[in-house]
This record gives sequence, C-alpha cells and structure tokens, in this order.
Amino acid sequence: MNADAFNAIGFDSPMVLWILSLLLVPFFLHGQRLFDYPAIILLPVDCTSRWIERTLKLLGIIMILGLVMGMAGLHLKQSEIERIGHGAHIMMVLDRSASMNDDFAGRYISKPADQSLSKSAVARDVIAQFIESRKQDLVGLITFSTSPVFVVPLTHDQEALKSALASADVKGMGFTAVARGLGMALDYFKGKPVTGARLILLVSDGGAHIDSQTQDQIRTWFAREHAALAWIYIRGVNSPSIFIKPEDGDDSASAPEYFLHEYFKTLNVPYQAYEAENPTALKAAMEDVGRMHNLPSHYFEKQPRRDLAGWGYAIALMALGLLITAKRMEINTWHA
Amino acid sequence: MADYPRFSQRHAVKKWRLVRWVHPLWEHHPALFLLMAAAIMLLPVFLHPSIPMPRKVYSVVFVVDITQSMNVRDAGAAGRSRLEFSRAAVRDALSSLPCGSNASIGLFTERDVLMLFKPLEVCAHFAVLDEAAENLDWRMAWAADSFIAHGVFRGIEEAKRIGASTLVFFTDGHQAPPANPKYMPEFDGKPGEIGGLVVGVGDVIPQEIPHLDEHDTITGYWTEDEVMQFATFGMADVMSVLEMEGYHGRNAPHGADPGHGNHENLSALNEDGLQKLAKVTGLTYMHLEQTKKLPPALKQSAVERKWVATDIRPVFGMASLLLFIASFFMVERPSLFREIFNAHRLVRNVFPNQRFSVFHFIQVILSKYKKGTS
Repeated sequence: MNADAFNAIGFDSPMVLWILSLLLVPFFLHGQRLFDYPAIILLPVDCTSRWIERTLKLLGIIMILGLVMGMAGLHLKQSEIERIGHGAHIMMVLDRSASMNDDFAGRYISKPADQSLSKSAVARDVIAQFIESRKQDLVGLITFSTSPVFVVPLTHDQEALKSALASADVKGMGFTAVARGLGMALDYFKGKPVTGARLILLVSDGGAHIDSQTQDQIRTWFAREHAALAWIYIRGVNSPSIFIKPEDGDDSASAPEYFLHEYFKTLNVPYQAYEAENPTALKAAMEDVGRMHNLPSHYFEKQPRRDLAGWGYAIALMALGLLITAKRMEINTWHA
Repeated sequence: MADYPRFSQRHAVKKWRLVRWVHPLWEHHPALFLLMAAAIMLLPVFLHPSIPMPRKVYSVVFVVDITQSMNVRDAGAAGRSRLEFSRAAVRDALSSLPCGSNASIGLFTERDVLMLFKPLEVCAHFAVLDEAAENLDWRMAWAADSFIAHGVFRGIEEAKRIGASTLVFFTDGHQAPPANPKYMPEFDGKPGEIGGLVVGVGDVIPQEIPHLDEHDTITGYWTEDEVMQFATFGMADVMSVLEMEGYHGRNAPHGADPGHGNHENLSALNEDGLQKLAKVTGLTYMHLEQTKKLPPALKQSAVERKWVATDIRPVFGMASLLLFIASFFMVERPSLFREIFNAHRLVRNVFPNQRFSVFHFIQVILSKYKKGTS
C-alpha cells in the first residue's frame, strides 16, 4: 500500500480502533472444546489439525478486524480525480452598482415584488443558470461598485457560488470601479499555474473612465496572466451603445462605455463584447461566451466518499458464518 | 465433600438460570449459542439502521472591520496587522466548527455590513469559506468612515435576516470620524436575540494608522491634519461662558478649537466603547490576543441542536463483538480459576488442619493442563 492509498482511507471514529486490542483474545484462546486426555505427547503431530486450528484463529481475527473496521467507520475519503475536459477558468466580475437595481427600461423599481425584473436580479439569474450548465468550469466571483469585493475563489462548488450570487442582491452602491475589479480578478490568477483557459467575464451596465496609467497596468497584467476578456454590457434603453462612437467626439466622460470598449480592444488578448438589451439577449450572450471558451482544460472531478464500513461488517459476518459451521462440526465426545 | 462435582460447564452455568431458560442450546453448547447470537446481532447492520440524534452545531456570521485603522500592526503576540490577525482568527474558528454548522463572512465599513454569501455548511464548503476569509482586504472598503455602533447593529440585523444565531464582530472600535455622543444610533433589536462576540483586536496603546501601498508596505502614516479631529454633526451642548469662546450655535457648535489634543490620527483598541456596545446588544466582549482563544469562546455562545440521522450500526457491531469474544470464554471445559478454587477448597475440607497455599494448586493444575490438553 503506497502513501497515497493510505491517505485515501479514513475513519469516522478512530478511537474505536482501540478495540483492536481484543485481537489478543483469538491469539491466546482457541475457544474449542477440551477433553481430558492423559498424555497427548504420545500422539504424532497432525498437520491437518494444526492447519485447522490456524484457520480457525485466522477466521476469528478476520471477524474482529471486520467488525472494528465497520464500527470505526472505514471509508475512502472524498477524492479528486484530475481529468481533462472542455471548459474554462472563469473569474466573473459582476457590477453591483445602484443602477443595476433598475429594470432594463432604466426605470427605478419601487415595488419590492418587481425586484426580480431588475438588471441585477436577471443577471444573477442568468449567471446561476450558466454556472449550472457548465460543470467542468472553475468559476469565481468578484463583485464591484465603489470598490471591488472578492467573494468566491475559483471553485467547482456550485452551491457556494449560487449562495454568493443570491447574497449579492441586497443593494448596489454608487459608482463603478471597473478597473479595480479587473485588477483584483487578474491578481487572483497571479502566480498560479495555467491549467486551463483563463477568462475574465465582466458583467456590468456601465463603464467608467480608466486613467492611462491604470490602463497600461491592466494591459500588462492581462498579457502576463494569459487571460481572455469578455464583456457583457447590460444596456438600458437610454444608455449609449458601446459600438457606436458618440457624436460629441472623444469625451470619455459622456460615454465612458464606448471608450472602455475601445480600450479593451487594444489589450492584445482575445476579447469579445456583447450588448444585452433584454434578458433573452443576456442569456444568449452568456451562452455564446460559454461556447467560445470551451477549450481543453484540466479540471478535478470529485469522487464522493465511499463507505467501506458495510464491507467490514459483511466480511465479519462471513467469517462468523464459517466459525459457526466449524463449531457445529466440533465433536461432543472424545473417542480415543 | 464426597461427591466432588465433575468440572463441567454445567456447573459454571448453573447460576444463570434465566439465561439457561432461553434456549437449551445455551446449556449444551454455550459457545455455539454465543456465536449464533453474535451472527444474529450482526444482521440488522445490513439494513443501515439510523436514528435521529441531537448534535451541537453552530450558525455563525463572521463580520470583519476592514477600515484603515485595522491596518495598525499591533495585534497578537507577533504584532501582526489587526486585519491579518482577524483573518487568521476567522480561519481558525472556521476549521474548529463541527460539520453541520453554517457560517458566513461579511465586511464592515462605513455604517454597513456586506455579507459575501448566505450561510454555507462549513465542511462541504470549507475551501470556499477559508479562501474567502483569506482574501479579506482593506481595499474592499467602499468608504473610509467607520461608525462602529451602526456596524454592529447592522451585523445583528444581517445575522437575523440570513437566519444565523451568532455574530462574531471583529473590530478595534476605532470610530472615524469622531461621533457626537448625543447622536448615537439606538439599538432597536432585542438584546441577546442574536448571541455572539464583539472581538476587540489590537492593543490599547494608541498607534499611528499607516498608509499602505499595493504590496501592503507602509509608505507613511496618517497625520493629524489629514483626519477629522472632532464631530461636526449636530447641535452642541450648552456650555459655561468660559468654554464658549468661539462658539456659534449653528456654525461652530463645537467651539473654536474643538479638536485640540484629540489625536484622532492615532488608533487604539477602544475597549470601553466596545464593552458598552456589547452590553447594549447582548453580545459578549472579548479582547482577542491569540487566535486560538476564539473557538472556545465561540462555543460558549450560541449552540443549536440539530437532529441528525446518526448511524447506529456500531451499536449492533459492538453487541456482536462482545458476544463473539464471550464465546472464547465459554468453552466446554472447567475454568482454570474455578478449578484451582474448587480443588483448593476440597483439599482444605479434607485436611482441615493443614495449611495449603493456592499457589501450590496452581502449580499442580498447570502441570495437568500441560499434559492433558492440546
């Protein structure tokens, strides 16, 4: 048994293993009927009898071993098998600024019952579906408003991701810190081996001006971490398009989204932008991102823990059955 | 004692009348009887029996103050930053919670608490919880202010909202900007409804609050001019004429030089303030100096009992094992000790005037065993 295999097994209650000291009992006692006989030394050594005796002892030991393994809760620990599949390592950068609480028409939602129509709620819903459909991806989550908040590291833990998405609903806060959100996502990849296609998926309903120094920094980081970028721009009715140059020239304050898109194009990494004007478009965009980033990648498939206690009990019962049979065959009287 | 009884198992078993009544097999083949009983005891195991048993679990919300005063490096023995120390304490506490417990992590700045996720089961989601705690950073703060009382009250509200029973709030109690004591928020919850701890981190000796760069290296310290030294909000107290120099009811309710000597750029663990807060909210205040002190303190607070289906196969397994072991001692032959005892008694009765040692008999009988048995 090599070290790996040894680490793979575990016990629920290892203290029960102390009962193994009862193994001394079959070692020192044989549990067979005895008869008075004056001088056994005169009889020749009977090999068959010796082996029968040893077998019975062994069965007793197996019985106790099996039982104790069962009681101690022997199991194969949950393990991860490395597989190569199709998917990506996706760091989601999700906008939770106040405007995400409006609906797609850009109206403020006043009735709590209509909260599910907000851009934020729809986006979270679509992302949750996306995560569910992509079991081979590693997904992480960063949210941002005035500042970025690191929420969930890259993980297969879908339940944790959904719980984080559900918790991100509470309220948005003002402004939009896109650059710092991207920086935090890239920073997460820093120093980790590249085992799959890296994608930073930005979901926001607005852009922000990024100063040129930060622009350069982010460009360097993207190149260094080999991460692709996808931007799903949730466009309200009154918001400008990211694909159309605003008429009033190159004033990045009036339409930062267009200039952000132009900047992303200069990153020299694979980049796609989507404009989602309604929930359906948002969903389609997510699906497209999924298709585009279905590259071979390493991923770990969880092997659930396997209970071996049942086998322990079964083996014990088998040994016990054989011992009972042997006992039944025991003679009651001795004919010399 | 002419009719010295034959050394038979019958003799040994005689006093167990009740058991003997159970089955004639017990009388004639006690070892076989015990083996079969052991086998029968083992059978229910394969039906996977389980019964609901209460288990102690916890439902904890960890909230960490991430304002800049938490960057002061005076927490714990090694003088780590208060935030780093709190992170370590959260991670220690997470790994000490029993499976079945729920935990969530939140951030506090300004007046608000932001929960990262809804409570997650600590064992199944340990990796995510642990890494989220590890990534708590002062850069996530969405504002630089810290109104501690608001934060604790919000923490309690959030804990209630997501259905947790315990709040663990890490802070140094450093209020920034200074609050006007007349305008403190009122706690409108029920004290003690949410139990838990207000954990004070840092040292009570005031220290300068550092400026950090992107690698968390200290590049400087907040100076007196950079921070607000006094509360500007609200109306002033009525003061004596002497104190009223420079006072203006609307424009300068704080007098002419209210911030003089306040040193709000320094930060120390405000134990008094946190103790008061703890009292109002029904939480317990503790000054944490070693991260490992947190788990025991946490376990003294709120406990929930959860009925968990518990595997009771080991109960049957144990019964079976005991019966099996007993079978080894129930072989059809006189017990060694009983034989010694009986023989000793016999000889003593026959020769009442002679003194016999039990050890003498042990010798005799052991030699007999060597001869007569396999």
